[in-house]
Amino acid sequence: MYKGYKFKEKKILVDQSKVDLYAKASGDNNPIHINDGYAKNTSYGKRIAHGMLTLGILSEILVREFPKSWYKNGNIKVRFTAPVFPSEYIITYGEVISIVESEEKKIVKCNIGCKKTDGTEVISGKAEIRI
Amino acid sequence: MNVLDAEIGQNYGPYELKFEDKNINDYINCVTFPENKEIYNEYLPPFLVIALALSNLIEEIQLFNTGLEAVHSGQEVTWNREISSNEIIYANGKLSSKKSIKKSLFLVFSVEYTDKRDEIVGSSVSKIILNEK
Repeated sequence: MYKGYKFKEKKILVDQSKVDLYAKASGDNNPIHINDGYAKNTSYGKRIAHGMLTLGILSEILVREFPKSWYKNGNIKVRFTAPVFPSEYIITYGEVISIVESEEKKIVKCNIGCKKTDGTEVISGKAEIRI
Repeated sequence: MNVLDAEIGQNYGPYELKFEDKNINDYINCVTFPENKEIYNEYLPPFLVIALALSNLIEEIQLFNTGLEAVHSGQEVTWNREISSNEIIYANGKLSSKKSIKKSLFLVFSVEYTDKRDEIVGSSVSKIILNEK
């Protein structure tokens, strides 16, 4: 890994079955995610995926790139910049922006995010992994 | 306490987070990459812990009873160590910021995660905006 290293992008379909399963697994039953009638009367006009579902998917690129280190000593900070609607694809991406090495550890900093196939950014932020 | 009535510094929880196989499997099936699944034989998907804590918090602050539209605008998470599926984790939440700007209410919740030895295993910060419908 080196500064400028780009993570392999991954295209994922976020469909309603994933949203429903996420609601069951997490207990987040906000009607905006699972109730079509409710969602129609919101500013979005239809159901949206949980931000934490999309973020969970995004974090998988860090699991893949840093399989042992990410969840032992990691930090992630993101903004949710646009909603993801069920049946949309998202593309996860990331790039190493710095690597600082000392005798004890190595700190890798990355830009990470998710975008839709039309380029709309849905999550953007930074991650830091201590290896 | 309903978040509209809460003041900065209001504590929420602690929530006792237990991880049942069904929840873990459901989470893995909707979130994880197939090539990563093997890792979760040993450890929990880290964001499952945050997701469960956030759901408990949302329920306690009665987010869906405010009459306002909630938007999750930002999230920060820090891990100090991995978490196994048979562990019990305690999540302690706090309303750390509450600002009203024009017709929106900007909320920040901080959550600290501890294990049964009361050692901190991670922390998170959730930013939520409540807008008039």
